[in-house]
Amino acid sequence: MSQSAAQVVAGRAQGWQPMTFRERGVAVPFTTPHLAGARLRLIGRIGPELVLPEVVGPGSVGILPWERVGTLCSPTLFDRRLGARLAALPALTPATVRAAVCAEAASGLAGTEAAQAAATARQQDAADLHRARAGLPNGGPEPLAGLFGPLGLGPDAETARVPRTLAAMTALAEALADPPRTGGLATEAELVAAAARRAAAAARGALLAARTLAAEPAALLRRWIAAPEALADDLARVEWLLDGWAWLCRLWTCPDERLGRPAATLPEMAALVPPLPREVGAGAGVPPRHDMADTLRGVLRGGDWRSGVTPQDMIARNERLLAGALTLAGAAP
Amino acid sequence: MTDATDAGLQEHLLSAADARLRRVVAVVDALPARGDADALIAPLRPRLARLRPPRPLTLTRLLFAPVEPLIVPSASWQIGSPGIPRSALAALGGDLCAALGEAADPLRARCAGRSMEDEAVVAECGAPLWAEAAKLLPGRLPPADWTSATGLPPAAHRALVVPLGVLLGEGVPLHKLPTLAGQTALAEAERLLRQAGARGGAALTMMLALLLRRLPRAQRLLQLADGIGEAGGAGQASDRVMAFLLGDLRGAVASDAALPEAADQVRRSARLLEELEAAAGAAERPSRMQMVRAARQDLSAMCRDRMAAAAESLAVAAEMAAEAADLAAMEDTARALRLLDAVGRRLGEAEVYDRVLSGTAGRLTAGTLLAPNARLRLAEILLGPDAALALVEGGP
Repeated sequence: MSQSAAQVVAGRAQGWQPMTFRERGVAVPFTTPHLAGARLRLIGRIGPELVLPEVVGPGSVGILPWERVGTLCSPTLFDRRLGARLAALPALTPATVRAAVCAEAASGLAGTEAAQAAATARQQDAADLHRARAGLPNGGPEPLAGLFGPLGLGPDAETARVPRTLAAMTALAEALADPPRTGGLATEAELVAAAARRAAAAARGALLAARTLAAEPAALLRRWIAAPEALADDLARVEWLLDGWAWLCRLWTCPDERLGRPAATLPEMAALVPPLPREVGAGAGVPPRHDMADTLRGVLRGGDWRSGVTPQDMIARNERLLAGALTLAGAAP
Repeated sequence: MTDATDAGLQEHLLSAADARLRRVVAVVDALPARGDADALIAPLRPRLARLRPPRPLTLTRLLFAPVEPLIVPSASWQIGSPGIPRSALAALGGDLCAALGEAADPLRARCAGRSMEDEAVVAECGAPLWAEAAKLLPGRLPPADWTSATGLPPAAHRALVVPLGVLLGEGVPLHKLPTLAGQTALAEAERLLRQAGARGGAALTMMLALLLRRLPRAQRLLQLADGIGEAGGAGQASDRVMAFLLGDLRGAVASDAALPEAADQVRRSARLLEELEAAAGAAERPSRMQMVRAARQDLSAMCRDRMAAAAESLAVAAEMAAEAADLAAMEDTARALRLLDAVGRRLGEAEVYDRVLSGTAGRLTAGTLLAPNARLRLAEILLGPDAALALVEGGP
């Protein structure tokens, strides 16, 4: 991509660290190779913007208005419809993006596997909601049950989506600490594992706080009545902390055989590690960035016929990743 | 077995399901002497390479493991060619085992019940076997039944065992070569080429052919071989290897291989051609350039034929598809067509590929059996999103 197509917001010496989660944007499972790992954010009045990792060069982040995505690449039909659906949303959060992805994947435009995964994901979400209602006094207000659903409440709390994502991240970090499985790529493996541990630790803290709140019904309801939006933001924090990690977990467990694991998988994962924003606190730190080789970047876009991996193959891979990330099926190493 | 029976059986095997074919190969592998059975499964080898049935670890298989890419059908081999005729394997392996006598027993016992996929045992047992073979093979005489067992003339024996002894002397590094990273592998290949060059033209030729099959870095290796060959009076080594590799390109793209494998084989061949073309150009060798051009035309024609046939099959399949599994298979075929397209248009006549892809996408979208989004996806895979949308919406 030419530098004029996207605004570069970080130098190459160190990684980009956004101030807030909303500035970082929400991970969107686009299937177009050029958009893999992209985030979408809605700040100010300029419409949705793409936050693109590694598109301009090592250690850089590109910012591009969604309406100008055509200057970067020709998105898949699935991405066009998903982008249009997301652009119409009043707010972009991990929850609203997930719902939009499920709705669009169900159409079959991202393939049969993604359509089936969307149906499974909806069933899982409904089960999470049902358990949350049972865990709240008198079922709680419906919006509250919706917020607690993915966090998990009650005796089966650990089967909910957030605890399952945390388990997958823990397993990923353990797998990456095993040198025979990471080849000679110890630097990339440690970068990803450290980031997974950091994000998971922060998410566990936020999850504990949320569940503690649910255990005090009177205080919970008082907060809900006084400031529902602030409470919703607090409860959604866990999902923001984990946003993007389901894709990375799936990338490790189900790599494309032709690209090779860990030779291509680990550098790609290292380049896609979600940076923790400053609002998380002092522990977030400035994330180190991984210098991805230009040759690998070309292969990941399906731009090198010698590799035998075409853009259509990469789209198919991204569709499989999308399906796996929706349900977390096979995400634990 | 009569020729007619053979032909009937082969035809039967060519249409056999994968599981049945695996069982047939297991039976052939268990035979004490493969003989005619080997010829029976010869046309199935490209498909077997895809199916990868477990191959029992025998001493003969172990012996030839480091030079496996050089094994060719006996009919296409002649003295001076850097290949190893398949019919010679059992004779050479058996003769070496006889020469080793009781010394082979511990290795045989260690290999029993193992397969070639058991990398650790292959490495452990291969090292002593290859070292012994390097010492013994060059001094062996042809076994009494050499010609009747192999169909090869007596002179073929010496033409094979002398360079084979040199290559097997480097069995351990040759076996490890595919696991090395780019520059490390190239440096090791250069060392192996120099070692072989010091042992004569036949060894240099065979080593160069093997390395070029393993590493697609033809230009550097051919230059080096030219230098070594001219200094040692073996200036024809590179020409012979180029003729061997180019002559084999079309054969490598097997007619019975499934489309994804065929497309990948075309890609490998095209990549090798590109390297050989650059090497011939850099060396300013018009005769080599001519060889490469002829091979390119040949591969290009084969690629176009395969593209047209596979596209037609896809269009016909779409007219009969009913299940989700059919759709997944059709999408895989469409993606393989795009790889064939990406490689084939580099070989020439790009407009043919445009025509085939747009024609096929047109037929797919005109059908009614598949759901509209399924048809749209297939068109998108074949043509890209913009053209697919235009096709479905009736645009330009």
